[in-house]
Amino acid sequence: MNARRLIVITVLLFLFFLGIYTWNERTGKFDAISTNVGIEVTGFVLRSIAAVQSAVADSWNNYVNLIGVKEENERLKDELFALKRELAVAKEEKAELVRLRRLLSIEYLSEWKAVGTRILAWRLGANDFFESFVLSKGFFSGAKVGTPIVNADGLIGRVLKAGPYTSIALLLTDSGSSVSVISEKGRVSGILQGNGHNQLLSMRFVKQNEEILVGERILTSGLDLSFPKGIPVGEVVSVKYGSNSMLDIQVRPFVVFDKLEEVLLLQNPFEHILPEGSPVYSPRPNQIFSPIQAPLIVDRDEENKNFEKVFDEQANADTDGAD
Amino acid sequence: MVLLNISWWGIYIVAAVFLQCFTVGVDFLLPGIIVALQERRPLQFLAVFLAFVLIQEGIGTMPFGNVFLWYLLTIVFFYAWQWFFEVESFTFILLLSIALAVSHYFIVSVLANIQDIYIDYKALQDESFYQMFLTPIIWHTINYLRRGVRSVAQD
Repeated sequence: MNARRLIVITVLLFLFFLGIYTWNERTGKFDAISTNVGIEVTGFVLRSIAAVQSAVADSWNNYVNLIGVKEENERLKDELFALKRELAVAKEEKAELVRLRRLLSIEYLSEWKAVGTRILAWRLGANDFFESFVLSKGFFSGAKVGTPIVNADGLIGRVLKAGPYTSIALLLTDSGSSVSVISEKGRVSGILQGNGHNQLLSMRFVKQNEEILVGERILTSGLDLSFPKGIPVGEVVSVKYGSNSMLDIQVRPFVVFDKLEEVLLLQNPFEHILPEGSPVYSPRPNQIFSPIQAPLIVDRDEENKNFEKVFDEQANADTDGAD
Repeated sequence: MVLLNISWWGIYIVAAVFLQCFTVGVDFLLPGIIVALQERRPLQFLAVFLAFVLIQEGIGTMPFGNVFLWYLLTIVFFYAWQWFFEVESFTFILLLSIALAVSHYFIVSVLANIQDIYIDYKALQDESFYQMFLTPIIWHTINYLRRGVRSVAQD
């Protein structure tokens, strides 16, 4: 192949790429095909591997690792007895709660049906730069684009791409993730945004005169129509004065993302009547956005003292001014 | 022969997807594209190229374009490099890997900027390095494993 021919082929290939790229931007057809084919092939492979792993592990547990089963059985019986007692009490309380909620007409999380699913894999391949994982459920089995993902600790994220039986989730910690939230005590609203892997979350658009304290729990507000109201998201670990008359609030998520294995997908019961929720991924250009890189471990007492000090100083200044 | 070839590529896809779970940001299908180019069988290359693009674009979270453009550049680099080196030589693969790792960094950076997506450039840099080191090793392994299929084809 001579140089001229290579240049011609290069130019033709580039034009071919531009053609496919613009056609896909306009119609989204290639995205749809690749999502269905790519995710399903990968999901099939990963599910098969997981099934083999599980079969091997089950054989091991059933036939080899039987030592101590009797003692464990006794212990579990005791635990079961205690749990049954607790359950009886909880049932009474739940019935009361249902009655009270009906009285107040509050829509609550329990109306959203939860479907359990397994995490098949974390970030896969050279084309995956988001904080994400692969789930073993697709749009045929409860994981549509935008479906909220939770576990017992709190909010995890939303479904970003969905194939028939496999999907990809975008985590709360991704810089393109945005959730409408509210503080538990002060009822201060804001938008919670991710800052990348193992980084604290940022609660934005909170005015400086709002009262929000370190240690306060942050919940989903439900205002973006994408999440049910009241899912625990995290707790405030620092509050500082930021730019543009806004507070700079750091939130530590309740969920330990690195240890997730199974999650719940929440199905919106009012999906067919409600308008579409906010987009799963919110673009944040590199030029105007730099994530706040703060470690997950923060000295909360120290932060509380600093914040109280700032408040005291402000209060003293106000009192002096009034005198 | 055709069945054996399809089975071989099928097993390769399974192994590549499985290995991708353990090495974040590395494309284990890329060396397969190089092997398909080396074998100079247009229909096989087209099928492999299309399948690999669909898999990687599908499983990736970035909007469409990165993998497609990267694999197209693999074709261009492959034909450009073959003027200077024997396509089966290790030097050829090493230089091709370097070119592909660098191009991966630039393609992702440019397309992320165009599509208003924030990406971690340090992670991208690290992953491009891993790709550069791993591509020759994977290529060497699959080239060795392809010998059986090639010998059946010659018989």
